[in-house]
Amino acid sequence: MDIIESFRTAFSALLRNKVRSALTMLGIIIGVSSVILLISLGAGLQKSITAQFEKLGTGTLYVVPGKFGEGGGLAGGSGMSTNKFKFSDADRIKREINNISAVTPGIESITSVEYRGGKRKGVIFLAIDSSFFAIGDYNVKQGRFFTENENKNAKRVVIVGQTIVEKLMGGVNPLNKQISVRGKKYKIIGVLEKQGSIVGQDQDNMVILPAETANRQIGFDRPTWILVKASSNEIIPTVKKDIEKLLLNRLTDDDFTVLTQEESLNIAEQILGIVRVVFVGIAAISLVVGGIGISNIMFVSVTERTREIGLRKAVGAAPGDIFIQFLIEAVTLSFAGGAIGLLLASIGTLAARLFMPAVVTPFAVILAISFSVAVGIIFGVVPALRASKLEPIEALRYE
Amino acid sequence: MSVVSAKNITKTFGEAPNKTIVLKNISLQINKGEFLSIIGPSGSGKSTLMYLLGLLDVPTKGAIYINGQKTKDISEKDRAKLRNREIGFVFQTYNLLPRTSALANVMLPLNYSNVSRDERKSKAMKLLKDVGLSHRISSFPSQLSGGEQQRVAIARSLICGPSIILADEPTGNLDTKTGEQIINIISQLNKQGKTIVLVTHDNNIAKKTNRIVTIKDGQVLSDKKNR
Ligand SMILES: Nc1ncnc2c1ncn2[C@@H]1O[C@H](COP(=O)(O)OP(=O)(O)OP(=O)(O)O)[C@@H](O)[C@H]1O
Ligand SMILES: [Mg+2]
Repeated sequence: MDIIESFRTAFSALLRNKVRSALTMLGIIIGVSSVILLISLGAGLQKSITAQFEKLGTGTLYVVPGKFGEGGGLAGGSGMSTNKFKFSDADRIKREINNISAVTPGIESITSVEYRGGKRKGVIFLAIDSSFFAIGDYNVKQGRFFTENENKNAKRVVIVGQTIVEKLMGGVNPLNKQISVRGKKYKIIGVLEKQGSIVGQDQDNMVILPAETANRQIGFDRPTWILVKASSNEIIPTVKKDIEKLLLNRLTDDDFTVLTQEESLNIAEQILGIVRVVFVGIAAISLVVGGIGISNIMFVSVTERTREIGLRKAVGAAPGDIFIQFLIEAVTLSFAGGAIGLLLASIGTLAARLFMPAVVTPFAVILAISFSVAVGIIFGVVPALRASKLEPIEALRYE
Repeated sequence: MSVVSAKNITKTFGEAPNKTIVLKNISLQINKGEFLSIIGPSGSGKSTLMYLLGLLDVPTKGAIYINGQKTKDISEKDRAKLRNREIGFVFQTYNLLPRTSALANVMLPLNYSNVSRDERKSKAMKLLKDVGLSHRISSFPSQLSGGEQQRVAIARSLICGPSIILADEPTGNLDTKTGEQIINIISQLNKQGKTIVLVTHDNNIAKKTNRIVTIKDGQVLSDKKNR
């Protein structure tokens, strides 16, 4: 039989029961959209996490408070309550560890910032000494970084990100203006170049204070991380061991973790992996449920159309023709579900682009199409076989 | 040579204790150009015989021959092909596909043979015109009267150019006058050379055919030339 004709028949049969078809497709829609979202968001997330680490260059080690996995945060932001670090730890590392090119401690937190009665919450707060500028990939667009002297003397200066200038200050020239951080005023001496956002966090919504200033004005005296740069990649394991040995003189094993960049990426991967498992679970369950729904509806359809099948056979349809007709119907149903799922996931991905470089890849599209077609075939075969095996005479007599 | 013939066919339904013998050792030869009617009381096995002749069912014993070809032991696919090419069915209940236009219904059998869509369409149009329904080509069966539906079904039975038309009580659901119109169309087809088997229990209709086969209790009671 003419395949085009089979598609025509399938379409008109499905359009005849629009609500039923739509409900049947729901499982496939959810399944396919979760698969696509998983892939595109996962890729986006990975890209931005990798980007975040790469910004600090290879050969970087992260010393973070707490035993990892027991309250220690990935970037050291959490774990404040158990944080036993001191700035002097960074000095000791700098003095006593060989084969390192830079050490910089920092405090990372979230704060609110005020300017002339306006207030901005959820601003990234970074307190560092001037050595950070040599490691971190930050550049000023306007003004300058603070000097080590300004840090030592706890000068009340601040460097701000673009979002602070644009959203809080209304785009005025920010240099030498005063903004309030945690109730105290600081003079803006520099504005960072635009960073974009990483993992949904606007990196331009940021203020950077000298660490000593943060200590004296706010009482922040414990770094939430210490970055150490090894002089070469090969030496990283040795440096890691040396730092651990050094810190164990003063701290216990539970108080800190030294992570290499690779390990940090692995941890990020693990977190992504959990997200992935959840999504794959949802996708798999919905695809199976969707497939069962299709099977079910196809059985109903075969029963409803028993006389039609009998007649088609009487006028010359071979079992294979009937089989193909019903299989095409099942596949059309699941394919349409897949297409709608793809559309929804694309909209979701577009929305996600506000936060991360998510993109619907051709691979994801091919996967969605093949998944939905496969579900249609797998779950359509049995009903189609039943239809094809109906005896023409029984089918014609069927009331 | 006969177009369709049955050789010693027996048809039973069911297994041992509930076994019913519907046809008993029937032989029948239908020759080219014949207009044959099968009559008999209700339950005598007329429809069963017709379905066997039309390869919709298989005899328990004996064999059906189409144009001299034995149809025992051929695949379901080949049987479908023979039904498609050689046999046209007309049923008492029309059996048109619902929510499908008259034109599409007539085209249906051609979907199962290798004919282009354009050709299918033009053939169906011509046949609908022949049965006087050219103004109704896009109507759905539900929008047609019983007589009109049966004319669509007749057009459908003709579209593949079959060797024989098998009609099972085609006027059974129609009033006398409409029934007569349908019988006229059928005898017209016979005059144009079509071989026709007409199942009926109406003696007046049977009288219009050339040969009357009477069945009773699954056996041929008489087989007479008429006129
Ligand atoms: N699938 C079946 N299973 C069991 N018995 C059947 C089956 N099909 C037909 N029969 C029986 O075969 C007998 C003949 O049936 P058939 O339909 O051929 O009669 P008919 O002569 O066409 O009658 P009518 O004039 O009422 O249409 C009936 O007794 C019927 O009950
Ligand atoms: Mg009957």
